[in-house]
Amino acid sequence: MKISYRRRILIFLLSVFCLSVLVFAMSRLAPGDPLVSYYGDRAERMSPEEKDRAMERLGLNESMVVQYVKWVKNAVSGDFGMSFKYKQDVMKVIEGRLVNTLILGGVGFILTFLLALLLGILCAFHENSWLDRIICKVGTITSCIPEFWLSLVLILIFSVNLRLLPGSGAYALGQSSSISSRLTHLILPMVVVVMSHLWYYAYMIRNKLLEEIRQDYVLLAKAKGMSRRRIMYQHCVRNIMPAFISIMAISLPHIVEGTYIVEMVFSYPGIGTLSFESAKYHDYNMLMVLCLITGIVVIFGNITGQAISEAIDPRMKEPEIMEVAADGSR
Amino acid sequence: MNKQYALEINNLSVSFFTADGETEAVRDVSLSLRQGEVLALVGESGCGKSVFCKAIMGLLSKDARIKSGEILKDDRDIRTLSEREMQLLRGSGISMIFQDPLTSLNPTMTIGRQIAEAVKLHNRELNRQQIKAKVLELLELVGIPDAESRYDSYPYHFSGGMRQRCVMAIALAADPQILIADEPTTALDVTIQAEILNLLKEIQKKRNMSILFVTHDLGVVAKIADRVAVMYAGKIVEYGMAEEIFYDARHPYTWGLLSALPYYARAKGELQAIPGFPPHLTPPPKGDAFAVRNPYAMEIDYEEMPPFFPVSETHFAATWLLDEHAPEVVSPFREISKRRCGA
Amino acid sequence: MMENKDILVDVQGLTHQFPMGKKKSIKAVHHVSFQIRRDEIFSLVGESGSGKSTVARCLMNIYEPTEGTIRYDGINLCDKKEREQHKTRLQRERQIIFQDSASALNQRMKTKDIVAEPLRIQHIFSEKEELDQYVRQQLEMVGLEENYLNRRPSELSGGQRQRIAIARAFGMKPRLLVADEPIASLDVSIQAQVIKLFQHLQEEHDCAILFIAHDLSMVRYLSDRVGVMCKGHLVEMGETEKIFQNPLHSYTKSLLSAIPVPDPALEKKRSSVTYDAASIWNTGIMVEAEEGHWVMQEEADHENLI
Repeated sequence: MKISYRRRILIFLLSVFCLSVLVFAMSRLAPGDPLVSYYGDRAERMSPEEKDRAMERLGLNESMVVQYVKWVKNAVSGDFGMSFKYKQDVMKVIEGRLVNTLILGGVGFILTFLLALLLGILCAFHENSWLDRIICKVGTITSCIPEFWLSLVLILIFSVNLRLLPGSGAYALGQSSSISSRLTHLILPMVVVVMSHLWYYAYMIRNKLLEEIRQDYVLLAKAKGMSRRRIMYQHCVRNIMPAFISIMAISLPHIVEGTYIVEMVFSYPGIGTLSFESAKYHDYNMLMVLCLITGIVVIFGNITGQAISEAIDPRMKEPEIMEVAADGSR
Repeated sequence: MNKQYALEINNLSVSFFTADGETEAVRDVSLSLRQGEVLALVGESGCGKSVFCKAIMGLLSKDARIKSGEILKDDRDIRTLSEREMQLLRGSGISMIFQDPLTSLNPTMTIGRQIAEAVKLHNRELNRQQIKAKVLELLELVGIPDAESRYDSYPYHFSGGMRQRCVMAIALAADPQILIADEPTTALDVTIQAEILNLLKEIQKKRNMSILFVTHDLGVVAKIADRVAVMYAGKIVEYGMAEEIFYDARHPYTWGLLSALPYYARAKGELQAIPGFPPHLTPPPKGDAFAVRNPYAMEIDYEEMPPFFPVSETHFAATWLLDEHAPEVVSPFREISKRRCGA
Repeated sequence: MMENKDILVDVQGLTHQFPMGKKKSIKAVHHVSFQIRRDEIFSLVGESGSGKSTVARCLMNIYEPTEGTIRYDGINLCDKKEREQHKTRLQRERQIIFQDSASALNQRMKTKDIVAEPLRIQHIFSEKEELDQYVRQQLEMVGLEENYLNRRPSELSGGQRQRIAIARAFGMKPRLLVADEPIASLDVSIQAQVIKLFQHLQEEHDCAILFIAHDLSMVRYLSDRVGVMCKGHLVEMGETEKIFQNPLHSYTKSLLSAIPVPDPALEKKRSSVTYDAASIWNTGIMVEAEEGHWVMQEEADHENLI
C-alpha cells in the first residue's frame, strides 16, 4: 500500500522523538558518575557542597523530565551542549569524526553492495558451475570470520610483518589533508568492512536471481530469442532491484555497526571510537548526539528504502485491480 | 527432405538424469509438422509432450539431455546450431507460447516494452517509431482493442485472456513460420478459451503458419487441429488426420481417451475410464507401456514394442492389434460414438 | 419450490461480501437461492470469479454469509447458537473435497491416518482394530490397495490423492458432500475414474452432493440438477437435461456454446454465442419458465449493486 510522503515524514519524526527519549532515559539511568568524566580525579576529592554546585552547573540536579525538555530546547537551536570529556562543543568534536566515518562506512557500504551485486550475478549466471561452487565455498568461509579477528590478522600481516600498510588511524600525523595518506589508511579497515558483509548479501542476491530465472517469463523471453545474458540484465536483475534496494536500506544499521567495530580495532578516529569512549566516560551529551545520529541514519535508511522500492516496482503503486476472483476457484 | 514439411523430427529421445536415475521422458519420437497445418499433440500430464516442445526450442533444463535424433528445419539439424544461431531461430523461425499467461509475462515491465523487445531482437534496423508502430500492429492483430492506450499498461492491468493475447503478440513479433503452443488455453475460462482458439486459427490462416498445439483436451483438439498425434509414456502411439483419429481410432489408448469423455456417455454408468495409472519412466516398462492398462493386450505387448502399422496414407498406429496375426478387435468406442451421433 | 421433506439444504437470498479496505467491499455472491434434495447431485457451474466456490464455502461455514439464510435439515447454519448445538452432527454429516488435494491433505501423515483422523475425532469406533478394518475397507472402496496404507500424499499422484480425500469424506458417511472442483487438476482418463467413483459412492451412500465445476460436459454427465452462476448471480437453474438442451439465459447459451465438443466435424460447424457479462451487474428476479426450470429475468430499472 502506498504511504504518502507527509505520512512518511511524520513517521520519521515520531521515530526520532521516541528514540531521543529512549536514549536520554537510558544514558541517565546507566550506572557511573558523570562528574568523574568532567572533572577527572578532582571529582573524587570534592566536598559534597562542591559536588552539588558542580551538578547544578552541569544541569544534573533537576528531574529527568526537566533535563530532557531543556536538552530538546537547546538542541532545536543547534546547541547540543558540552562534551564532558573534551570540554568542547559536542558538535565540534563530532564534525571531524563524522567525516572519517562517512568515508569508511559510506564507501564501504556502497562497495559492499556493488561487489555483492556483481558476485551474485556472476554466480547466478554460472549456476552450479565450478566457478559458482568455488565462490560459494570461499564466500561462506569468509563470512564466518569475526571482524575483529580478521582485522587483527590483517594488521599483523600487512603492517607488522610486511610493513606495507598502516595499521591504525585515519592519516599519518599532520597529513590530514593528504589524500594518499588517507587512502592507504583506509585500505585495511575497508577490506574488513567489505569482506565481513559481502558474502551475506552476494548470496542473497544470487538466490533471488535464481528464483527469478526459474520464472515462466524467462522461458518466454528465451523463446522470443533473447540471449541468457540479456535476459539476466534486462529482466532478472531489473526485477530484483526493488528487493535489492530494500535489503540495502534495511542493512544500513548492520554495516554501520560493523564499521564501529572496525574503527575501534584500527583506532580509526570516527564515530564508532567516539561512541565507545563517550559511553565509557559517561559523556552524556556526546552519547546522546551519537545515538541520535546513528538512529536517524537507521530510520532514514528504512523509510527511504521502502519509498524507493515502491517507486521502482509498479505493482506497489496501485493496489491490484482485484476481480471478484476472490472466490478461490482458480 | 520433403518440401511440404516445416519441421521434421526424427527418432528424438530425451532423458532426464536425476539422483533416481535416468528418466526417459521422450522415447524415439518421429513427427513432422507440415507447412500451414495445425498439428495437435495430445497426451496426459507427464507423457513427455512439454519436454518434446522444449527440446525443439532448445529450452531444456540442465538435467535433461537429447540422447539421439534430429530436428530438421530448412534442411538443417537444429541440434548442430550454435547458441547464437539458435537465438536467431527462436522467435523468428520457431516461437512458443506457454500454459500460464499469468506468469509468462514479466510483471514489472510494460506490455509495450515486452513486445517491443521481441520486435527489436529480430529487426535491428528499425527505429523507435517503427518499432512502436509494429507493436501496435501486433496488439491489434491479437485483438487487443485500443492498442495505443494499452501500450504502457502493466500485465497486472490485464485479465488472463488479455495476457495470453499479449503473449501471442510477443510470439508472433518476428513472423515465425512455426508456433509451438503448449496448453495455451488450459488456464483460461471456456468462453475466453473459445476466443483465443478462434484467434489462433485466424492468425494461422492469415500467415500460413504451422502450429504444434499441445493439449490434453480433446474438445480443443477437435476445434483446432488438422492432424492429431497421441502420445503416451514418452512415445507417439497413433497419429493421423483429425477425422481419422476421432472417427476411426485404432490404438486402445486413443479408444480409452475418447471413451473417458463424458460427451460420449449419454446415460449414467456409460462413462468408461481407463483403469490404472500411467507408468513411471525410470526406467520405462518393457514392451508396450500401455499394455498393463490395455484390456486387449496380448502376450507380445509385454515383450516387444509395437512398430507403426499404416491404417491409411496419413494414419498410423503403434499397436500389435493391427498385426495380421492379431485377433480382430472392433473399437468399443465406435459403438459409443455411433449412438451419440445418432442421437 | 419443492416439497419440504425432500430438501436437505435450503439456501435463501445468500449474499457474501469480501471487504476491501474500510469502505469498499466486493460482492462475491449476490442473492442466491437454491435447494438441494436429500439424494441428488446438484452442480453449480460458472467461470472463475462467478462465486460458486464462495457458495460452497458458505455452506460449510468456512465463510460467514453477509445476508441470507442457509438451512441444513432444518438447522439454521447462519445462527452461531444453533450451529453450536448441532456441532458434532454437522461435522460428521457435512464433508468437503477440495480441488487441490496436494495442499488440502497433510503431507506428513500416512494415508491410513488421514482417513482415520475424522473418525477418531468423532469417536465412531471404540476399538482400534475396528477402526483399522474400516479404514482399510474405505480405501479399498476408492480403489487403493493395502500397500497404499502407509504411504504419504507426496508419494502419490494427483488422482490417487483425490481418492484419499474421497475415502476420507465418505468414511464419515456424510449426508451432504461438497465437492469443490474435485477433478479440475486431474488428467482426462483419471477424471473419468474419479467421476465414476463419485457416482458409485453417491448411489451407495444415498447422500446429497453439491458439485462445483467448470467442466460442463462432466456436469452434464454426473448431475441431476444444475445451477449456472455468473458474476455472483445465479442466472439459471433446473434439471440438467433441460438446461443443456434448452438454455434460456443468454449467459448459459454462451457458456454452452463455448465448450469445445470432441467431434471435429460438428465442432467446425459450431459457432459460439457471445454474451456481455457487464449487464449482469443489474439485478433480476428468478422466474419459473417451465416446471423446475428457473431463469433470471433482468429488471428494466438499473440498480447499481457495487
